[in-house]
Amino acid sequence: MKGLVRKINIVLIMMFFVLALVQACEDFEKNSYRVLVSAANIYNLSMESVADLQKKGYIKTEDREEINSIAQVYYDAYQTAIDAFEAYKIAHDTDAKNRLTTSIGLVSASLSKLVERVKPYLIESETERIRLLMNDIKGGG
Amino acid sequence: MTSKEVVNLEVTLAIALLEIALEKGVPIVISAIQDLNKEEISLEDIQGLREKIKPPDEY
Repeated sequence: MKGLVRKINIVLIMMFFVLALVQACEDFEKNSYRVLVSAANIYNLSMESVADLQKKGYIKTEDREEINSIAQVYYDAYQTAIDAFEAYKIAHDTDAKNRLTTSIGLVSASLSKLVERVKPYLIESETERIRLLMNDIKGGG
Repeated sequence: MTSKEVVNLEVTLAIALLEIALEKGVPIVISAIQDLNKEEISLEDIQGLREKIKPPDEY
């Protein structure tokens, strides 16, 4: 009877570790997916804002070219991360996981550079919008 | 990627989405939330990520 209880305990402990491992894999996949979806949405919003600000005259052609070259680094990093994610989904091994982690780090870093480059134009246009609103309010009052 | 970094990105996204929701309406926000709440990630989901963004000169 003692032997049976011990075997059940060992099986339960092994099941716990297997479940924990599966859970860790699922969390890693979900986190990776969520980061890439979030990064894609932020990139889209940033680039749509850039296009809009260029139309409004806040961004000149040469500045747009510089922004595009920074954005291209992000775009390439993002595509590389998806390649790494596909490879991880198929292989599920440590090497693939490390490559995915590294490439997501590059996505995050290149997105930060892009957002930092675009932010001053957004602040400038927002400041101008607020100034015009204030003038309207003063004029109306 | 740590959980803290994920949360930071999601907070940035949430703020950006709230701002755009005021301009373009709610559907874009609902679509993003659905993407973030997926229970299981399939290979097709991963491949679908490619179409979520365009090259810089196409904006």
